[in-house]
Amino acid sequence: MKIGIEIVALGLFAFMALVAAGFGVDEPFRQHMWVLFFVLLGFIAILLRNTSFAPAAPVDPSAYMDGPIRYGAIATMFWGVVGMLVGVVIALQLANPDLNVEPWFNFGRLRPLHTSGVVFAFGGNALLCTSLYVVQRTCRARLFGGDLAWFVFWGYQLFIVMAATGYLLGITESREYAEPEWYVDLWLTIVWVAYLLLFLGTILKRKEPHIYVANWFYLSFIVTIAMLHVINNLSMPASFLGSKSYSAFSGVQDALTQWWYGHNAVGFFLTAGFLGMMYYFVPKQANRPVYSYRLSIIHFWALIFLYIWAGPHHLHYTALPDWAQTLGMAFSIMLWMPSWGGMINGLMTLSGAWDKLRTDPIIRMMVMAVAFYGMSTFEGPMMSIKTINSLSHYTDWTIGHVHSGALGWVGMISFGAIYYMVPKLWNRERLYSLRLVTWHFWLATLGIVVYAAVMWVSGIMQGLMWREYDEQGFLVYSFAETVAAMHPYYIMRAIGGAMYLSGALIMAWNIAMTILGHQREEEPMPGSIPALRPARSGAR
Amino acid sequence: MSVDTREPREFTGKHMLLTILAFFGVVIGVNLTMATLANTSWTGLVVENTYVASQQFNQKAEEGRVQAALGWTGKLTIAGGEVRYSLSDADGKPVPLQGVKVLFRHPAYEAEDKSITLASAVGQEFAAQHTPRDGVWIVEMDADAGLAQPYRDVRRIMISQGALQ
Repeated sequence: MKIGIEIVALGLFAFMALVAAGFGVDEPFRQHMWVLFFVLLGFIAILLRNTSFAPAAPVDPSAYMDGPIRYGAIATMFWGVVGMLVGVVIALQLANPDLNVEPWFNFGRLRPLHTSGVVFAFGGNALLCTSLYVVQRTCRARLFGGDLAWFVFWGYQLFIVMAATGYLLGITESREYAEPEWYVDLWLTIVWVAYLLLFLGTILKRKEPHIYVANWFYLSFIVTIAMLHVINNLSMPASFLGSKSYSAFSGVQDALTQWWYGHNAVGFFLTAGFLGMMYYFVPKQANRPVYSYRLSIIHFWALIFLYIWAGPHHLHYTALPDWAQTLGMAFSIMLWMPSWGGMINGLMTLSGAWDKLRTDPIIRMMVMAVAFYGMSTFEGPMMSIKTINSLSHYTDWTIGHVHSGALGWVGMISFGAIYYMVPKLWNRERLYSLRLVTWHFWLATLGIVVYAAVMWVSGIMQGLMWREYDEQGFLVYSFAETVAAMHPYYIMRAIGGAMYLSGALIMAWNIAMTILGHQREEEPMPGSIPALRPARSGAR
Repeated sequence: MSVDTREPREFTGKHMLLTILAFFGVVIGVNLTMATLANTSWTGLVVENTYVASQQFNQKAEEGRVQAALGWTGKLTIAGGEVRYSLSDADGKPVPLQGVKVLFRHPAYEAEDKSITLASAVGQEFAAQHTPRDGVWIVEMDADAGLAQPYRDVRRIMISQGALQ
C-alpha cells in the first residue's frame, strides 16, 4: 500500500495543529489543538507502519469496495457502546449528583457527549456504512472515487473525536445536537461534501437503471443534513485561533434556525436515513419483496415534504409568531400519515411469513424497530399539539419519547442491519450465535419498555406537579420538591438504560467472535433450520 | 440452556395483529390520558393568543397612561360579606360613578371566576353582598365614571377569613 501523499498531507495537517496549539488565544483551544496534534501523529504512525513498497494488487472494478464498510461496522459497534455507556452514566448522575466529577465529567459536558455519541457517532457510522453497502448492491456498482470512501470514513471519525474531546474540554456552541465549535463544523462540512460526492458518484455510475427507494432515503438524508448543518452553524469566530464564535442570527430567529435544524436532524438523520436501512435490510433479512413499492415512494416524498416544516413545534408559547407555531403543529400532525404508511409497509413486508418472527431473532429485532418507529411517530404528533405540549414540554415525557425513537427505532434497526451485514462482509457462514441475538433482543426490548414507561409516569407527574394549584390559588409544589419526587424514576430509568447497554455489549461480543471466525455450538432456534446463504460480496 | 421439547406453535398474522393492537393500545391509551390531563388541568395561559395580545399592547398601554394621568385613587374593602368600592380624585374628593363591575379571577381556574355588579350605596360608594373564598384572587374593577373608557383597577389580593388583608 503506497500512501506517501496521505502521510505528507497528514504531516502538514499535524504541523498546523501544533502551530495552532502554540498560538491559540484561549486555553481550551490550545488543549484541543494538542489533542488534534497527537491524534494525527498517532494516525501517521499507523500509516507509516502499514506502508509497503510492493506493487499494489490490481483493483477489480466490478467488485464491491467493502473495506470502509467493515471498518464502519466496527466503528458503529464501538461508538454505540461508548455513547450508551455515557448515557447510563449521566442517568446515574441525575439520580445521584455526587457522580459529577468536575470539570471534565460534569453532567453539562457529558450530556452532549451522550447525544452526539449515540446520534452522530453510533447512528452516523451505522448510516455511513449501511448506505455504502446498500448503494453498491442496489446500483451494482463499485464505490465512486477510489480512496474517497476511506477519506470519508476516517474524516468522520476525526470529527467525532474532535467533537467529543471538545465537549469534555468545555468547548461548545450551545446549539442542541450541533454543539461543536466553528472549526470542527468546517471539518465536518468538508467530510460531508466528500460523502455526498461518494454517494452521488456511485449512483451516477450505476449499472442498474432504477434507483432503489432506499437510495432515495439515504440521498435525502445526506443532502438535507448538508444544508441543515451549514445554515445552523453560520457563525462568526471571535478569533481565527480561538474556540469561541457567535451565531449569525439573534433572538427568536436564532431559536427558529436551531429548531429547524434540530427537528430535521431527527427527521432526516434519525428517520430518513434509517428508513433507507429499513427498506433494504428488512426485505433482505425476510427474503421477501417490499410489501408495496408504490407506497414506499409515497412514503418518501410525503415524508421529506412535510418534515422540513415541523420544527417550530419545539417553540410553542414562545416569542415565535403564533402562525409559525400553528404551522409547525399542523405539519407535525400531517406527518403521522406518511410515517404510519411507512410503518405498515415495513411490517407487511413480512405478510405471509410471520413465523419468521418466532424463528429469526434478527427479523424480530427489525420488526420491533419498525413498531417503535410507529410508536414515536404517533407520540410526536400528539406532543406537538399546543395544549398537550404545554404539559409535556420540559418534562421527562419528552426524554421518554426521544428514547423510544432512538433506542427503539434507530438502535434496533441498526443492530438488525449490522447483524445482517457482518457475516456477509467477512464471508462467514453465519453469526457466532443466534441465541445471543435473542438475549440482546429481550434485554434491549425490556430496557426500552422500562425506560419509556418510567419516563411516561415521571413526565406526567412532573408536569402535573408544576401546574398544581390549590383551592386558595397557591402553587402546591416548589421546584425542588418536584425534583425530589423524580428520584425513584431516575434510578429506574438508569436500570432500563443499563439493560439496553448490556444488550449492546452482548452484541459487541457476538460481532467480535463472528469477525474472528468462531461459531458457537448451540441448539438451533426452535422450529427453524438456520438459513445458510452463501455470502456473495466481493473481496476487499 | 434448556431445550424446549413442546411442539412449537406457529406465529401467524393473527398473532401479529393482536400483538400490534396491544402495543398501540398501550401507546395510544397513555397518550390520550396525557392529552386529557393536559386539557383539564391549569394551563398557565394569561392570554389566548400572544400575537393578538401583542397587537393590542400599545393601545392598552396608552389607555393606562391616560388613566394614570387622572391621579385618581380607588378604595376597595371586603369585609363582613360585603364588597365596597369607591373612587376619589387627585384632591381626595369622591368621583361620581354610574356603576361598578368587579371580576374575581381565580389565579388558576377560570371555572372559579365570579363577576359581580356593585349597586350604589352610601354617598359615592358602590357595594354588593359577596364573600370570596379565602386565598389569592385577582380582582378587576371597571368603574363607569362617565369617561370614554371605564376606570380600570386591577389588583392581586389575599382574602383571609372573608376579609381583605
